[in-house]
Formats: sequence, structure tokens, C-alpha cells
Amino acid sequence: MAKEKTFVEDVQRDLYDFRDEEIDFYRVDTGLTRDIVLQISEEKNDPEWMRDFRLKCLDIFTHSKMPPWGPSIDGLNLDNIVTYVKPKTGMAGKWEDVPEDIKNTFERLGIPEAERKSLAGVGAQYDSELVYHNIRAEVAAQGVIYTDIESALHGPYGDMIKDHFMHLVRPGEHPFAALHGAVWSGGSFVYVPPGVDVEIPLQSYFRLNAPGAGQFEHTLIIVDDNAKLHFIEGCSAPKYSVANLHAGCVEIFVGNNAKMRYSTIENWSKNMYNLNTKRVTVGENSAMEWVSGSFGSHTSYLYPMTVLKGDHSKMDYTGITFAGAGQELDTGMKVNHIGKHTTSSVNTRSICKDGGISNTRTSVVIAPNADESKSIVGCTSLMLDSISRSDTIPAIDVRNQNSDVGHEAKIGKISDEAVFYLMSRGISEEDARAMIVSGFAESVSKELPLEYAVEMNNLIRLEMVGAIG
Amino acid sequence: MAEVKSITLNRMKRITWRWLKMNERTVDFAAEGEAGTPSVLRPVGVDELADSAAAAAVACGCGPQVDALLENAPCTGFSVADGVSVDEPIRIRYDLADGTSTFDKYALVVGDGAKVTLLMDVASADDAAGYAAFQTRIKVGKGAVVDLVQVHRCGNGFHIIDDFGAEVAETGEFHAIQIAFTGKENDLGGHVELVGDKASTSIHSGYLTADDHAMDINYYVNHIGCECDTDIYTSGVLRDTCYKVFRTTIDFQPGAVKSSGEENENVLLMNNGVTNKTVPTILCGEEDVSGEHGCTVGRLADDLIFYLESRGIPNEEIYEMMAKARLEATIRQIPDETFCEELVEFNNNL
Repeated sequence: MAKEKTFVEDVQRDLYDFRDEEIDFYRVDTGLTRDIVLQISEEKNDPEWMRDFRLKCLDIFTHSKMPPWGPSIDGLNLDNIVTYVKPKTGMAGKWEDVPEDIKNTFERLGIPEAERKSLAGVGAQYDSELVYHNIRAEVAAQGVIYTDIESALHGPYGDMIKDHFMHLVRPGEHPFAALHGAVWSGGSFVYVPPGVDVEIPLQSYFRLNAPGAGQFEHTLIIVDDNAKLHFIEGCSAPKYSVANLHAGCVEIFVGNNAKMRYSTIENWSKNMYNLNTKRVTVGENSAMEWVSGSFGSHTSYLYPMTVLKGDHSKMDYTGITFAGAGQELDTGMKVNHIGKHTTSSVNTRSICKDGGISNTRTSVVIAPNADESKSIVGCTSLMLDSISRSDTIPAIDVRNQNSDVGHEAKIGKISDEAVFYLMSRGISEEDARAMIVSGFAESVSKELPLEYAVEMNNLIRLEMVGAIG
Repeated sequence: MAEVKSITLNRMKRITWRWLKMNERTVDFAAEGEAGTPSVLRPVGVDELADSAAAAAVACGCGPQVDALLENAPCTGFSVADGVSVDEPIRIRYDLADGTSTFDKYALVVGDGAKVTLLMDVASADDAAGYAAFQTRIKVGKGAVVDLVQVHRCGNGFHIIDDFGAEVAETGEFHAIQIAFTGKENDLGGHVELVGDKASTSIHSGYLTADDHAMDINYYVNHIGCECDTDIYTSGVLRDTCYKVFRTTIDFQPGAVKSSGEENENVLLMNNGVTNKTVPTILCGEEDVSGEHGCTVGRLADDLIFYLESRGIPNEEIYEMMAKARLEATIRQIPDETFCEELVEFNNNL
């Protein structure tokens, strides 16, 4: 069939852009006050320490200043944000028990099907609350805990949560960590006991349906010594004309000789301010892998941070960002090498078009005692037109003599030489350009589970219908 | 000693996380200074600049608080007429006295097709202390070629601010070399505007920072014209408990088509205890450009050490040898043989 036109299509969000009516949902008032925080705490039946912690976070938030270094968040007025929206259901352990409209939402997103096919457990959050959580019996039999964090808080793991909750991400670090601490709701708790290898992934999916709402889920993962886990996070929302806010928090504790992989496809709608914080601390001889795709949001601040605390620990980060019209996505990563013989390897890719702005912001810190540590960071950006922007802001702080740090960054357009080379092999110019963009993203997609790689390829859809015009 | 005041300088064009403490530098510096008494050698072909205001609008790299600090400092101006190629460099030499605060400005306006080199050598006795701040503003005409060389070899109590700015017209070339051997604190700034099409610049710096001294660098190159080219390279050696920040920004404005820019840094850490920070930034508002940076921080390559050790050279001596070699590599780029040999000898005797 003759091809008429070639272009790299913007992210296709139709699949996610549907909304449900809120019927009998519970909402707190807009804005952020002490009464609202106490109301959420009461609704969650918090233990006393958690209620006090929320109030302390509120105090920190009210005295903190917005960061001066990132994209503008002037369009986000917290006075208009509803920090807690509870759907008209409790948490179900079977999809049949989830209310029909909410279940339909997750079915359209393919979550139950993914669970049946390829997941060890699924958590599904709708607005501020988990509506579904389940784990395969054989995985549970290994002693793996995968539950909503509120249940865990009141169960036998309550002390473990108290000992870890916001110990990696401190509320004083930035305003949105403090805000999260004050109004957090939902999220998952995962505990993998020593020596347990969770062979198939767990997944949490976050859906924010309510207009003008915030989602503040907290994910706490503890992978004990010699254990192994792959955790997948997905998120989406319908588009509204008012700002929505996502200020979630992920804290991961990886023990010794353990392995953790955290994969994310972030596809919030373009009215979303995604101010998320993720952090992991890694023990001796352990490995952490981040795989991250950022496609949605109006504005993103997203920089998963890794603390390589144990000797011989290592981290790999693979990330791709696609910024289209009206988006400013400030993404990247941070890594701190504390232990000896630690290694980090970072590969970031960004694509921007139609006036989209992509900022790649990274930091590598090698502490004085991190002897024989190595870090290599590569940032590559592809600009598909001249009305877009792509900025790379890497920071490197090395205080150890016996370490090796390398950093490379490259910004540019699709290489004319590469197109020429492919065309000289008989490939049309349209196909050549499409192949190059596809190959550019492949280093990330190949790291994703198959169904997520397919989703990513759908998101960066290459339309091949015609001649270049 | 002079009365001091706090100033903030070398702020990045695009700042990043505050906890990294790299965005800018705040220092105590002499609140006031006096005109220096350098020896100035103005070769044939270089005229006095009648009106230094011609270059006053050229932006420098250290930022507005250094501009304000030097607002009333005397300015010495030079000019080179269109088409004049000056073989001998303009030589400015300072021998700073202990306890002094020197504030001086220079302006250089180079006509179309002209060629000139400006050498600045700022030195003092080893045990001298004081302050010195310099700003050098340069306008490079169409097709002109300007080399600027600034060298610091001051005493262990000196705090030096050396700041330059250049505006480069069509097919003009501006090449800067900054070398800092010593001094308690060195703040280097550079700002280049590649205004005309096919304008180009190179900024190469070398430093040896030791003890508890500080080296703070901020270079910014703005690509406005088409087919412009930038090459920034710094090579340094850090030892003891010194502190160094290297900020560099290549900014491609929309319309700067077919431009290219490259930043590279190579730092050798001689021991633990140093603080070594780097932020090589690329800002890109144009699709049809090529921007790259690379950096290597840390120790010498294993195969190099193996090769030299197999020739009987002890490990410690290898590091000392390579430290000198790094500085010498930058020195050798100075387009004046006499000054180059003088600095090689100085480097060897350190």
C-alpha cells in the first residue's frame, strides 16, 4: 500500500481519556487546613503517631518555599485541590466485588487481563483509595506481603511501617514531600522475606478520575536479604480543564544480596502536575534497576534517587521522556555512592516535539569513602522541531580519588547521515526516519515487560501513511 | 586588610537542586579596590581605545554583582583597526603587592578581519595576600581573530576574580585560555555571544588547586548566529582539601541552525578530601544543532599506570608527572612562544 505521509505522532492518550461520574463519593473540602488533615486522619483511622506525623508535615509544608529551579507550577493552586476523594466502595479482593463502573475503568486499561496473564499480584487505586488488591496464593505462601498500606499499618507489620515510613524521603526535603506526609492516602506495602524470589512482577495501577483532585499514594517496599522483586507501576487520568496534582511517594529498602526492579509507565493527562518522589537505599552486593517512561502530565518533577549504601551495590537507570505540546517534563535521576565498589549506570533518552519542553536533570555524588566506585551517565535528546526545547542539566560531585565518573550528553535532531545511510540501503526516507526514532526509544522499551513495551510503542506511535509533505 | 563584603557570583543560567550547592558562589571580597599598576606593552598596530563605552555593553560571566563591584574601576581600552594583523601580543603583567586590592577593567575592540592576542599575567610573591578583580570585554569584528590568555600565579593568600566577555561577529573567532596555578581563591567567569553567522569560540582552562583553596568557574556561550561553533575544554588537578566547581553552559537559541557545541572536562584527583563539582549544561531551543559534552573525573587509567610502572616509575611519581603534564597541555596552546616557555618552566618548578 502506498504510504502518503510520515510523522512522529504525539502521544496517543485517547485510550486513557475517559471519565466516570462521581456518585456518592466522599470528598473533603478544597485546600489544605489542619481540619482537613485531621479529617483524612480520622477517615483512615490513623494510629496516634501517624496523626501527629501528618500534623508535623502540615507545619513543615506551611513554612516551606516552592523550589526555584524547576518548571513553573504557577498553574497549580492548592486552594483549589481536593486532597482526598474516596470512592463509594471498600477494597475488594476479587474484581467481581469492585463496583461496575470502576471495574470497567480498570478493564479498559487492561489491568485484570494483565493480572491473569502475567502478574503475581495487583493493586488498583482509584482516586485516593485502593479499590482492589490481590496476590497469587503461591506468592503469598512464600511469605510475601502485598497489601494496601493502611491495612498493613494496623496489622502485624505496623511497627515495620512505623520504622520505615518517610525515613528515606524526609518531609523537610521539599514542599511536596511535606504535603504528601500530611495528606497521603492509599498506596501499597510490599514485604519480600529473606531468600524469596518473586519470579513474576507485582503491579500497582493508579487512576485519578476526580477533576481538581490530588493523589498522594505511598508505596513502601522492603526487599529483605537475598530476595528478589520486580514491581510495576502504572498511572493514568482523564483530561480536565482544571489542574490535578499527583504527589506520591515511593520508598524502597533493598537488603543485602538482593535485587529490585521498579518499572514505571507514567501517562497522566495533560492537566496533571506530577510532583512525585521516589527513593531507594541499596544494601551490600545488591542491585537496583529503574525503568521509567514519562509521557503524560502538564508538568513533571520526577527524579528517582538511589542511595548505594552497601559495598558492591549497584544501580541501573533506563528512562525515556516524551514531551509534546503544552508539556514541560523535568525528569532524570539522582544517585549517591556511599559504599565502596559501588557502580551506577544511567541511560536517559528524551524526545520533544510540538513545543514540548524536556529537561533532563541528573546528579551523581561520590562520597569520600566510596573507594573504587564507578558511574557512567549518558543523556541523549532528540528534537523533532524547532519550537520545542531540550535542556540537559547534569551535576557531578566527586570526592573520592579512586573512583571513575564519566558523563556524556548529546542533543540533536535525527541525523541526516543516518537517514542517508539507510536510504543508500534502499530504505525510503520515511521508513528511515521512523526506524531511527523507534531505535532511539528501543533501549527503554526492551527493558520493559512485554505488555508495557507494547503500551509504550503505542504511546510513541509512528504513523506511516504517506509521503513527506 | 581591606573591608570585605559578601557577593554572589558565577550563578548558573539554569539552576538545579540547591542541596548540591553548585548554583552559584557567595564569597567575601574586598568592598573597594584601587587601580593596579601593571606593566602594559601595547605593540604596533594596537591603538588606545578612544571610547571604552563601545565595549561596555558586552556581558561578562561572573554576573551582575561583579559588574557592580567593578562599576567605578578604571578601564584601559585597546583597539585594532579593520584588517590589521598584530603579530606581537598585548602584554599586561601584574606583580601584586601584599595587602592590596586591585580593581581593573579592560576593553578591546577588534575591527573586521583584524587579528590580535591579549596576554594577562597576574602574579605575586608566594606568601602575599590580597584581592584582585578584573573584567575584560572584547568585541570581535567580522572575520577577526582574537586570542585572550589569562594566567594566575598569585600567593597563597590572594583571592582573584577574573571575568571576561566577548561578542563575536560573523565568521569571527574568539579563543580564550585561562590558567590558574595558585592563589587562595580563584573565581573565573566567561560569557561569549556568538552573534554573527559562522562565529566560533574556544575556551580552554587549566588549573592546579591545592591545600584548602577554591577554584570556581562559570562559562556561558550563547549561540545566536547560524553555523556557529563552540569548544570548551578544561583540564585540572585537585589535591589536599581544595574545592572546585566547574559550570559551563552552551545555549542554542532558536534559529542557531547548524551550530555545534562541545564541552569536555578532565579532572585528576590526587587524593581523597577534595571537593570536585561539575555542571556541564546544554540548553537547546533549536532542532538543527549538535550539542555534546563529556567528562572524566577521577584517577588515571589503569593501562597508563601499568605502562609507566613497567618502566620503573613509582605510582606516586606517575601522578605527579601526569598532573604537570595536564597543565602543560593547556600551556602549550598559548599562541606566544616566549610566554609559553616561561609558564612551562614555572609549572615544572612548582
